[in-house]
Amino acid sequence: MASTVVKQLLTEDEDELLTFFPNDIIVKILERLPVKSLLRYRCVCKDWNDLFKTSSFIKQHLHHSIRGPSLLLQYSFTFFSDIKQLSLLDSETKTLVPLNGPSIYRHLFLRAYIIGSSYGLLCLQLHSFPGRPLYLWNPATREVQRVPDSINNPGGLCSIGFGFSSVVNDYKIVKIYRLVYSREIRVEIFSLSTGSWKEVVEFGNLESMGFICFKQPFAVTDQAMYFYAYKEDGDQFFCRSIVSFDMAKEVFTLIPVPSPNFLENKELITTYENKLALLSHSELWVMEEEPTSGGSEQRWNREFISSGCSPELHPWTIWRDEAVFIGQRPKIRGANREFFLYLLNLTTRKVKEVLISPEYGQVFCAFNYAESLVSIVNGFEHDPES
Amino acid sequence: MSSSVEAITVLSSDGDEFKITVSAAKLSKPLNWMLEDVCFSDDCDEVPTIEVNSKTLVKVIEYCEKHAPRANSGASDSDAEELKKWDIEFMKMDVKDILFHILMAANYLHMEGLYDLACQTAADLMKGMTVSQIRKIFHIKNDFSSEEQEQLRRQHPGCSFD
Repeated sequence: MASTVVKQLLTEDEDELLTFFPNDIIVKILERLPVKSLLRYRCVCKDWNDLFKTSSFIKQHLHHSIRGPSLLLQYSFTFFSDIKQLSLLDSETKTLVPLNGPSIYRHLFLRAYIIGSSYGLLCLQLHSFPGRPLYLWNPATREVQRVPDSINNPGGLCSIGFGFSSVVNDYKIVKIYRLVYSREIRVEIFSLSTGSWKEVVEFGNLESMGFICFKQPFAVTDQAMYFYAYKEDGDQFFCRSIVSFDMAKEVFTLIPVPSPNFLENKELITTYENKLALLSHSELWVMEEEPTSGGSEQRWNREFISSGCSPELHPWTIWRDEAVFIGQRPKIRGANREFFLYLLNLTTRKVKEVLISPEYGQVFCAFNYAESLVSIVNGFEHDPES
Repeated sequence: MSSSVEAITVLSSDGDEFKITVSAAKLSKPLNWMLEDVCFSDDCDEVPTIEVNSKTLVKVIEYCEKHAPRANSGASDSDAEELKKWDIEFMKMDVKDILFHILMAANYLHMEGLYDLACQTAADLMKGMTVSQIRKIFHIKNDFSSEEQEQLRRQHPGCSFD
């Protein structure tokens, strides 16, 4: 269709309207283009090249892009180099499209794990390197930057969260860990706008609650990160609470799980419509903020999502309006199992299955990813016009 | 406003008369103001003119009438899905109308929904074009000097000015 349209437009040379087409409408159209097209169109003229670097344009573009995120899947590392590591689910055709890792780190990237995805950027951790360095990567512009080492840079067990706070317009990485000898909890925060780490001394009553580890993955909204927190009880770990980290105020708060029986550890911590959510094969709990006379109150809201959903399906994320599960079944011929995505639409309750072809490994993690022009070096701060 | 008025008559820039229901006109702020003025005035014979040509106005009114029930009352999610499909069909029109007349009309009539839809449709049509095709369509001149082109090529290997 596009080619006939182009022909149609190009054959009609005498069109006065085109000459007077208002610039602000052109900008509004450009804000809705994929990054790939924008990178090509920076060669159209100087104005456009400059426009695409302004923070206002980048923000507006992201604002549109975030409304229709892609589903990004990372597959387990294998030594077979022909196995693809990353793919995006095409929302229209519902097929998996391979995504290349950052090219200059290709050999390193094989053992990079995605920590989180937020507002166009991914945070990666290289497990195979000493100190397990973190990287920020924009897959759309292919920009990649190593994050400076944190202050104490603990090599041991460490929970990491990554997100963008729309309140302070900044990307943040939080590292939570216990010192090996004193077993004290330590928290360090990296801010992309300052480009540096700082240690947080005030972190509420986390210490007194005796939490020993935060489970990955975490969930992130545009204001807070949420982790399952575990406490030692005898020789077993129990999930006792959800810890939220407000990225703007940099404070931790405890959120109770929906019910005391809610400890089976089968529920995925995720977000739905920018709200904290817990998803299992049968239930969806969403943390609703309700206005009260004294401000607002948080309340868990339970929805039964499906009675026909097999417990063999494992929840991975919520993408747009779809609860994403991974299922496996034996192949009809041969001993191997095949994996599939099971997408359950939370509004229409319609189900769609997408087979994960053998060119991919086993799904390791799933994220919502919205592409953006945002620059890791400059963030949103860089504005050639100002 | 008199509750008995269900539809008003407007003139296109070509001078043709069109009827638009009150609930549909509410989707556009300027139309809404116009409607209130017309209904309040004693001289109801005067037909207001909308600076949009007939061909485009037909489409704009069609959009308003379709979207009015949902915009005014709020509707179920299944309706939303149906409406989405309708929007896609609605946008399958001559490309000049989408890119130019509908966009300009939606902008002029402050119709956020239609403006958003038309911008997205235009973006979807544009995204696969080459740099020179884009320049031709928007009448943009390549104003990079050869040094600047060379610099951009160094910064972004593989970028093309054609």
